[in-house]
Amino acid sequence: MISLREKLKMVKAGSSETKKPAEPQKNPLFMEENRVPAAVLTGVDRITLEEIRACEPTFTGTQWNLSDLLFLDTETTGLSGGAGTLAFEIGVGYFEQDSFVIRQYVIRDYPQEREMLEAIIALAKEHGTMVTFNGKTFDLPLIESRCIMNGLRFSFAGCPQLDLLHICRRVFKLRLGRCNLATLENAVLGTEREDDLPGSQVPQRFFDYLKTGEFGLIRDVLRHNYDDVLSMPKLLSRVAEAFRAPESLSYPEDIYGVGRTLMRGGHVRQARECYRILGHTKMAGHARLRLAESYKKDRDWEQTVSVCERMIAEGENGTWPYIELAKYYEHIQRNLDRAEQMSLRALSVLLNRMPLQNGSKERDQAEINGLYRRIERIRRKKERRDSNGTV
Amino acid sequence: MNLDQLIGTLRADPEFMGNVAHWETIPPKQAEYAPFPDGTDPRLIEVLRNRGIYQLYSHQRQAIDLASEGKDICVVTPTASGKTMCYNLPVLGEIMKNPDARALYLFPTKALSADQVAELYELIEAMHVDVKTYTYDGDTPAAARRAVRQAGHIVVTNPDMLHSGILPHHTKWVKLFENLKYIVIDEIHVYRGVFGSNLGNVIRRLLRLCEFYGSHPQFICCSATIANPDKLSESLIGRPVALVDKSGAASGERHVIFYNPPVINEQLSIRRSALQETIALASRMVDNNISTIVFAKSRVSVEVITRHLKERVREPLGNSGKVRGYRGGYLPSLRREIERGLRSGSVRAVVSTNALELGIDIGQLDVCIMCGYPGTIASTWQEAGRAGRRKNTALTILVATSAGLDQYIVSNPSYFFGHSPENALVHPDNLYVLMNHLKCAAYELPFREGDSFSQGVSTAELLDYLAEEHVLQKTGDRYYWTAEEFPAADLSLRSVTSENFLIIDISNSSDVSTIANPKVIGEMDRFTAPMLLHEHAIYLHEGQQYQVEKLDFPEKKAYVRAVDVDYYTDADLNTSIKVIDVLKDQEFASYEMAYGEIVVTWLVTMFKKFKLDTQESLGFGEVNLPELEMPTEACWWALLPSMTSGYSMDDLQGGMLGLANALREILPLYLMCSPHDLCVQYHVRDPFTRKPTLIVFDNYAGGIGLSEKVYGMKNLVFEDVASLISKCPCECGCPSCVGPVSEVGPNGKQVAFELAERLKQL
Repeated sequence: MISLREKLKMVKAGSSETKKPAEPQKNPLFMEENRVPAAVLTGVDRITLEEIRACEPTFTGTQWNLSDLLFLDTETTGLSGGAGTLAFEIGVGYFEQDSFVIRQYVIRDYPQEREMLEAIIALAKEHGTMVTFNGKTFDLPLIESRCIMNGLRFSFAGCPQLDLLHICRRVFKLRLGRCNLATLENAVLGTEREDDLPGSQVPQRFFDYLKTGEFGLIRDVLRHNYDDVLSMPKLLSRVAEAFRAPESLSYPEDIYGVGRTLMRGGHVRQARECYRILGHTKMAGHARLRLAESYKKDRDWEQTVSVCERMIAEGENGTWPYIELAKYYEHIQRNLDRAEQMSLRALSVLLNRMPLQNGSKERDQAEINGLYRRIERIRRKKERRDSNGTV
Repeated sequence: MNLDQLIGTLRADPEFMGNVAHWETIPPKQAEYAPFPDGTDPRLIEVLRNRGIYQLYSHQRQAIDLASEGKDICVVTPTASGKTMCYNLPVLGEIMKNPDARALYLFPTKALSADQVAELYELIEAMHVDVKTYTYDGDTPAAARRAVRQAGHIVVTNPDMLHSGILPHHTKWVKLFENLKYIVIDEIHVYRGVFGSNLGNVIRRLLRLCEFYGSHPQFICCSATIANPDKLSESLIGRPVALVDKSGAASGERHVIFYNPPVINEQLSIRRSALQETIALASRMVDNNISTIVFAKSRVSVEVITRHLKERVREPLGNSGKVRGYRGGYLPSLRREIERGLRSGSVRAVVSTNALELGIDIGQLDVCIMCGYPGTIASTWQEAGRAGRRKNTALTILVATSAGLDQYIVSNPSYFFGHSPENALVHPDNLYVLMNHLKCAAYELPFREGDSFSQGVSTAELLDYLAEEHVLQKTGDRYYWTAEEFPAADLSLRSVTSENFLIIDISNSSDVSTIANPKVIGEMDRFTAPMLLHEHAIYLHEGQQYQVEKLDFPEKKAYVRAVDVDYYTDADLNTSIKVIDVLKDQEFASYEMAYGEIVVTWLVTMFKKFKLDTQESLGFGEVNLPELEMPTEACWWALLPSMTSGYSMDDLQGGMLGLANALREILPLYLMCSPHDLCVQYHVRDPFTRKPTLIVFDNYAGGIGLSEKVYGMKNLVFEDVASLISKCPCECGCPSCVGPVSEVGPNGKQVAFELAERLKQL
């Protein structure tokens, strides 16, 4: 009869040779603190609540003090986000007098997780506002999940949250495409990391550490996390500046991103200002479209018409400005002749356009049909008007 | 003609009656009622009264009483006996009393859950109460998932989603786990074999989490008629259940006819094709506008029958929508459309695989025709249950094929109509299955020393093993998950890969490289695709023939073009077996017997063309596709020279083929599994044993314990094999025993019988 042990070997064919696991760690929870002079983080002290609200319209905080901020980033045993994934390292940063303090915790073994979580909860309660990079969907829910697993009931729901990934995406996505931290550091902060530990190797470092007890394996992780935490206030400072003075930004795509965010947050005047700045750049067509939409929404017809006419003059946005003008003349000014004229011009734009790709033919056809209907309707109205006129 | 008249006509038809092997008339049954229990929420009673339900069936009352006593129950009821009330009433009652209470409903398929939720919604809406019922499965939009987790009173899902989408993320479901009061498992008889063994472990994981969150849910299981519903429930949920198996529902008169197609070749005992007979019988129903469901066992036969019946009802304008096909591989939207048509009566006949066997609501039809025995008695009754309204007559016709199992059933009606002898087997302690789920469980919540996950296998030993492998880390008295992987991600409960092939219609394009308006018309699983979607195969879909133009294996896409030809194709499958490890073996006087692990390799190398109406062979073609591999378990018998030396090579070959064929017929009855769950092969000279060898293996990756059971039965099975062969009236072999003489040779039957006689003896 084969023993269960032998069967298990068969179930997992080709099992590796077994090393004796290291003796359980007697050391306490690892904690390391570093201080950076706050002066290094230029501009952070200038940030105002209004700027934060402009960056992040959903921000729920009612005041803004640097000392309230807790920057947080975790290193985990995986990315799946299930109950068996945990943060074995948590790095936090906060302002204290003239320093930015970076404090990093590492569990030396699983039972220490609870102690680390309690420390984090205390810090979160002390500071109150969480600043993360992708923390809204990853780090903070993960910590909440780990609290449940450790019998601690804690939720970040009461803390105002600022997720820098979301803000940076809105501003830089158009230019950069990907918005991971390394890309942003490179393109926005102008810094490059040396010998950085790739994130994909982080989990294995921890597992190897558990096996060997060799803390050197964790050192690279700590350095990687330290850089992550330190980059957050720098990025925050940069995006706040972008919203404070969009005209100082070098890339039209970024200005456009700021403009759209401002518009979404209801900062109409500043948003229009961004779009106007873009009038002579490669983003001009897009910007004018947004500008016209915004005036139209406010029923500011004079401005709407002026922007549309400018678009036509510049040959931007295809039939859109013609059709908007046609609507304006038909419904607002009730100038049916002008409306008909605009519709006919739109039609000629369409008919002169060569089909560029597959599928555009059908879309064009739909648009052409729509224009025919518009023109017919305007002509019926004209007939009715003329016959009424003769009566 | 209505159905009663038609039944009269059939009885008076000597040609029809000549083929009737058995005609069972089951008398109508009066309903047995019981009042609503005291304390039933008046809103529930009122809503039910408005639907014409003034009292409960006796079994519903019994189920509700047992549930309110806090018992775990298993309800066994025929189709259309109001079984959903057995769980909806206790669950709704509880939630209306305590709005924090939660319930989890498990259905084997997504389609079923959608259906049951619709019914539940109606009840809840009519009561104007705030009981939120949500389906949580792969189709649930990401945006809606949060609401389901937070607010769903009743979460409806399937075992796969529970396993990979809910349990590993339990910290997002705190509300559900803390307040879970009822777990409903419907269609529990479906969870046999590998699926059931997996589900048993998923339930173990679920209960472990409930304990962590401090809830103690009760189970309400529902099953079709099988021999061991209580035992099955118990092995799935790990605790004893109270059985409710006396239905109080009314039923109309039911006729069940075993129809055996006439023998057309006495010597070879060849019968007329069941497919042709089914088409003829179904045509009679369709001609009389009697609503009918036809069950066929393969996709191809569904399509062939659909095509014929559609021709039958085609209107001058070409519309044949009164007849529809229905099977896996049709897109969900098309299926929903057909289901609606059936309920409304605009579809008068539907031809289906067993996809419609489970409780999808298609209303009740009048007649059920089965082309071939569905494989188990439970399936047969479920399919038969599709016909028959509460008070009307229902007719079921089982058209037997020449297969041994079919012939056994129609010639032994007492086996079928007696008490169900079928046991649904599950083996949650199968080491593969158990290990996989133990990992998932450890991921979900660290084990403590002394925790027990399965009663049969030492949990401590398994955990220590995983710790040695560095999958778990033991610190203090706990075992922590210590790997990056997400263990539930790679584990499929149905053990077939989820990677489906897409079937793309390119009829509107000149060739594959320039596809205009490609249209996905269906999907097919990875193991079936090489058989049915190889290049030049004729693929049938809703009665339309398509020819496969290109099969892109790496991309998992098959490009097909509509054609109109008078033949169909059938692929030849080559199976080869490699023994990996012998786990047990024994030597007897004239043979050696062993059980162990093997790897099976499948390869489709060629296909044949057959004429549609006469089935005559029209030639063959080559197929060039990669091999598919599957590790599994096998049991084999190596025959020693003392047994085989007296036979010529040809005779031995024929005899072993015959023996393999007979074994294939007998084993499913013994193991209560579907014939498809097992494969039987033989080698006149086996590369591993170097002797003539007969091999039985589990047709599931990792095995589900069937081969091990065969090994444990030793010589027992050959007694029945010998008796099957000796009792068969054919001269030298027929499809009902060892196979036709053209395959086994003139002495095949005799040699097979002699070998079986020797294998009977230890």
